[in-house]
Amino acid sequence: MKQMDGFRIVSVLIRNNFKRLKGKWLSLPLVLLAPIILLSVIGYLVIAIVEQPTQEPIHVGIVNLDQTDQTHLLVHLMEEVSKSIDYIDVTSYQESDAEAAIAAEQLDAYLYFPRQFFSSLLRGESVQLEVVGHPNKRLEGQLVQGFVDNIGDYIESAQANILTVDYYASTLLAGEERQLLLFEQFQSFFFHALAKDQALQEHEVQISLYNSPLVYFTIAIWFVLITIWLFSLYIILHKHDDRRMKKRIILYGLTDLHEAIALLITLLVIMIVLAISSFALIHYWLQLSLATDQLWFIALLMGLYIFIFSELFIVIDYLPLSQRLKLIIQMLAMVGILLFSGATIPQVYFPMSIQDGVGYLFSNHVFTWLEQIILHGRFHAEFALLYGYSLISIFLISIGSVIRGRVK
Amino acid sequence: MLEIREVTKKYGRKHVLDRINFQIMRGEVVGLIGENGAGKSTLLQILATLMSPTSGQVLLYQQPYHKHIKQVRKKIGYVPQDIALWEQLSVKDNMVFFEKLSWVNRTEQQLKQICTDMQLNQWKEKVKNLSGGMKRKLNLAISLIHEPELLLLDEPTVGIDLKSRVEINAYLKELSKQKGTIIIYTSHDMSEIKELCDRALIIGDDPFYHDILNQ
Amino acid sequence: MMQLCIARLMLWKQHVLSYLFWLWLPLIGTLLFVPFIEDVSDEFLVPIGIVLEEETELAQQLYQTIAQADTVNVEQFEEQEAISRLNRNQLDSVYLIREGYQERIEHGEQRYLVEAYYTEHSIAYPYVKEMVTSTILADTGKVKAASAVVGLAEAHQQSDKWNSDEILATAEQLYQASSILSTDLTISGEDRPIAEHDEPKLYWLVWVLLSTLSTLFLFDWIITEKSQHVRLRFQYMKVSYRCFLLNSLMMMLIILLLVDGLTFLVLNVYRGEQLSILTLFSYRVTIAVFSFLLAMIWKNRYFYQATAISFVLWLTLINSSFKIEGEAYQLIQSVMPLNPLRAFLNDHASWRGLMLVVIGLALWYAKEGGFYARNKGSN
Repeated sequence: MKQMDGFRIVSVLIRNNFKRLKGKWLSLPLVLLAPIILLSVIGYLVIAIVEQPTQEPIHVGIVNLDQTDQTHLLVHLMEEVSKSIDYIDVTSYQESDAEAAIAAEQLDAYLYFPRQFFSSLLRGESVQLEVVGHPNKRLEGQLVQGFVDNIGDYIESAQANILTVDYYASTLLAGEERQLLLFEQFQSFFFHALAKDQALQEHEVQISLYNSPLVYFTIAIWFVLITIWLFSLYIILHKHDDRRMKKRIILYGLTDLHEAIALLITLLVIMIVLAISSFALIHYWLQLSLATDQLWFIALLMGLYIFIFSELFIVIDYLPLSQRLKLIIQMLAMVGILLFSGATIPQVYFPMSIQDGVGYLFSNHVFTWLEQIILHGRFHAEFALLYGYSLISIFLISIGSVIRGRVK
Repeated sequence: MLEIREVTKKYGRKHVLDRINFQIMRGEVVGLIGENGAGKSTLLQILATLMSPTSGQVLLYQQPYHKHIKQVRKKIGYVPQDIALWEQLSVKDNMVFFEKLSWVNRTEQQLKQICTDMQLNQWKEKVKNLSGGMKRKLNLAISLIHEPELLLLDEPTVGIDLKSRVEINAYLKELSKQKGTIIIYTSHDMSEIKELCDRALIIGDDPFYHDILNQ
Repeated sequence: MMQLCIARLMLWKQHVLSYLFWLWLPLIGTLLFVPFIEDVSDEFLVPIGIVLEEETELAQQLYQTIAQADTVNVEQFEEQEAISRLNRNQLDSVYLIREGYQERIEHGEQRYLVEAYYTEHSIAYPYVKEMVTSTILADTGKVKAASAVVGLAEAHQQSDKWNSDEILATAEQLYQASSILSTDLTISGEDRPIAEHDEPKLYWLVWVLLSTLSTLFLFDWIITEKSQHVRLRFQYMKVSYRCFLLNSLMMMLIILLLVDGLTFLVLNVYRGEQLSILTLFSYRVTIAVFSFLLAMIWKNRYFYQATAISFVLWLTLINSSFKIEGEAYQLIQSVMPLNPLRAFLNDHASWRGLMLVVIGLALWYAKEGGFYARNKGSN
C-alpha cells in the first residue's frame, strides 16, 4: 500500500516537472541552443586550425624603405616563398600605394622594411618589422604577423651565423670583398633556414579508424554539450523558493527522496531523448559505421553518465550551505568533471601525477570507453566502476534525504 | 476635510465606482464595507493616491489631489493590507529606517513612544520573530511617523488575535480624538466597524454606495 | 542624501559578513589562486618520446634543448617502445635520431636528419615540430658557418688559423648575444600597435573573472527587495524607490571602487602587473551598472545566480582556452569581439560598454518612472 503511494507521488512530481518545462517553452530552446552555437564556434576554430585553412589567400604588400640589394633580394625571396604557401600572397608596393591599396581593400595588410634594415642586421642591432593591418581584417593582420614572425626567425638565424662568418672574415677581407662575401653568406643562410622543415622526415601514424581529428573533436564537443545541457536542465528543474507548496505536499507524505527520484527520472528521460537525437545527427553527418552492439554500449555509458552526474548534483544540493555557494560548488564540479574527462583536454596532456588516478573519475571512464568504441572500433566497455558510482550515489541520496527529513 | 466629488472608476466598460460623493470631517473615523470586489479597495487606493479616478476629483483640505500630489502625499498615512516591513530588521530599525526617508525628523524617543502607545513593546526584536498582531501594529506605527492628517487602513486587523485588535482600535480612536486625524478603514466585519467608526459607507449595493449615516 | 545612505546601510548591515566576503574575494582569491593555477598549468605538458641511436655531442645537445623547453615532457625510449606508446596515444609525437646524425650534419646535409612520428590526434605536433626543427636549424647553421669560415681560411692559405671547435664556440656566443628581430602589428588608422601575443596578465585575468562573479552576486539583494510590499511605502517618502535604488547603486559603486583602489595598489605595485587606472575604472562602472540592471530584470534570485555563474564560466572559457596552442588562442581572441573582457585584458578603457550600460540605466530610470505613473492610472 505504502509502495503504491510512493509511486503515485513520484509520478505526480514527474508530471509536474514536465509541466514546468512546458511553461518555459521560450527559454528552453534558448538554453539548449546557446551551448550548441558557442561550442560549434569553438569547435570550428579548433578544426580550422588543426586542418590548415584553404580559403581565399591573404593579400600582403611589402614596402621596402631600405632599398639595398640585400633587401631587394629579401623581398623577392618572400614573394617566392609566399607562392608555396596557400594562404598568403605577397607583392611589393610603394609606401603611398600600399596605404591606398588598403583603403581600396586590395590589400589585407602590408609590412615595412625600415631604412637601414640590412646594415643594422649586420651590426647586430635590433630591428623592428612593422605590419599594418586593415581595420576590418584584424584576423588576417595577425596571420600576416605570424608569417612575418616566421620570416623573422629565418632572418634572425641567418643573422647570427653571418655575424660569426663576419667576425673571422674581418681579419682576412676588407671593403667591397667583405660585403660581397657577407651578402652571399646571408643568401645561403636564408635559404638554409627556409629549408628547415626538410630536416624532419615525417611519418603520420593512424591510430584510430579515421584519419582526421574531426571525429574525435565532434565526439568531444558532443560530450561537453550533453554535460552542459544536463546542467542547464538541472537548474531549470531545480526546486527553489517553493516552501509554502512544500509544506502542503509534505502532508501528502512527500519526502526529499520522492523528489530526487522524480527529478532523476525526468532528467534521464529528457537527456536520453536529447542524446539519442543529437548522436543520430552526428552519426549521419560523420558517416560513422557503428554496429548495434556498439550503439547499445554507448547508450548504456551515456545513461550511466547522466545518472551519476544528476545524482552528484542532488547530493551537493543536500549540503547545508547557502544557495550561492552550492551553485558555485556545482559549477566547479561540472568544470572539473569536464576538464578531467579527456573531452576538453586530451588525457595525453594531463600531468603525470594524475594520469593514473584520473581513470577513476566517472566522466573520464565514460569518455575513454566512448573513444575506444567510436574511434578504435572496440566491441567492449567496462561498467563495473560506473555501477559502483551509481550505487554509492544512490546510497548517499537516500541517507541525505533521511537526514534532511529528520532536520525538518 | 476630505471631499470626494463625482468619483468614477472604470476598468474597460465595467464601472467599479460610479459617481461617488461624500465628505469626511476632521477627526472622523469612517468605515468602508463591502463584498469582495465591490470596489472598496479601489476607492481606498484612489484616496491613497495610488490610483487616479477615471473622472471626478478628491480634495484634502481644499487641495485637489491631481494638482498637488506631492503635498497631499505628505499628509497621507497608508497602511497596506500586506505587511510592508523589513523582515530582517528589528522593530527599532524599521522605525528608524522609515524616519530617515520621511519628511520629518523624529528622535528615537519619539519613535519608541508611537510603538508604546499601541502596546508594541518588543523594541529590539526582529520583525520576523514577531507575532501577527505585533506585525500589524508595526505596520500601522510606521505609517504614523510623519503624523498624517489622513490615515487610510486597508483591512488592518485581518487574521490577528482579539487583544491586538482591541488595542489597535483603541489607539485609532484616541488618535482621531487627540490629533483630529481623518481615519478611513476597510473591513469585512460589521461589528468592528460599529465599534470603531462614527459612520460607515457600504459599497457594492445598488446604487453603488450607501451612506449609513444618511439612511 | 546622508539619510538615504544610512537607511541603505541599515539594510546591508544584516548581511555584512556575506558582503565583506564577496567584496574581498576577487583580490584575496587572485592572490591565492594564481600561484596555484601557475603550478597546475605548468604540469599540463606535451609528452614526447625521443629515441637516441647515437650518443654524439650534437645528438645529446638536441635532446637537452628539447628537454629544457618548459611545455614538453621528454622521455627517452627504445624505438619499439616509443612507437607502441604513440600507438596507444600516450605520446604526442616521437623523434628518432638515427645513427650518424652528427656526421651527416658535419657533411653539410640538411634533409631528413631526424625522423618524426605523429598521429591524427597529435594536437601539439605542429608546435613541437617547430621547436625541434628550429633547434636542428640552429645546430646545422653553426656547423655551416664554421665550415664557411674554415673554407675562407683555406682559400687564403691559412687553413690552420682557426679550428672548428673554436668557431662553434664563437658562433654560440654570437647566438646568445644577437638581438631579436621583432614584429609589430598596427591597424591602419590607429596609433597604438596591438600587443603582440597579448601578454597574459594572469593576475588581472583571474581578478576580473572573480570580480565579475562577486559583483553580480553583490547586487542580487535587489531581486528579493524589489518584489517586497515595503516598496509601496516609498510613495509617501521623500524619495521614490528608484531614487533610493540609484543612491544604493552609487554607494555600492563607491565601496567597490575603494576596494578596487587597494587591489590596484597591490597588483600594480606589489605584483608588478601593470594595468591603467582608467581601464579599471571603466570596467568597474560598467560591471556594477550591468549587474544592477540585470538584477532589475531578473525575477528569480536562483536563476539570476545561475545566470551569473554561467556567464562567468563562459568568460573563463573564452579567455583561457587553448593554452597549448598560442596561435589558436590568438585566432579565437580575434574572432571574439563578443568577449566583453577583451578591452580590459588589452588594457583599454571600454567607453562603448560604459555608454551602453549608462543608456540602459537611463532607460530603466525612465521606465521605472513610467511604472508609477501607470500604476496610478490603472491597476
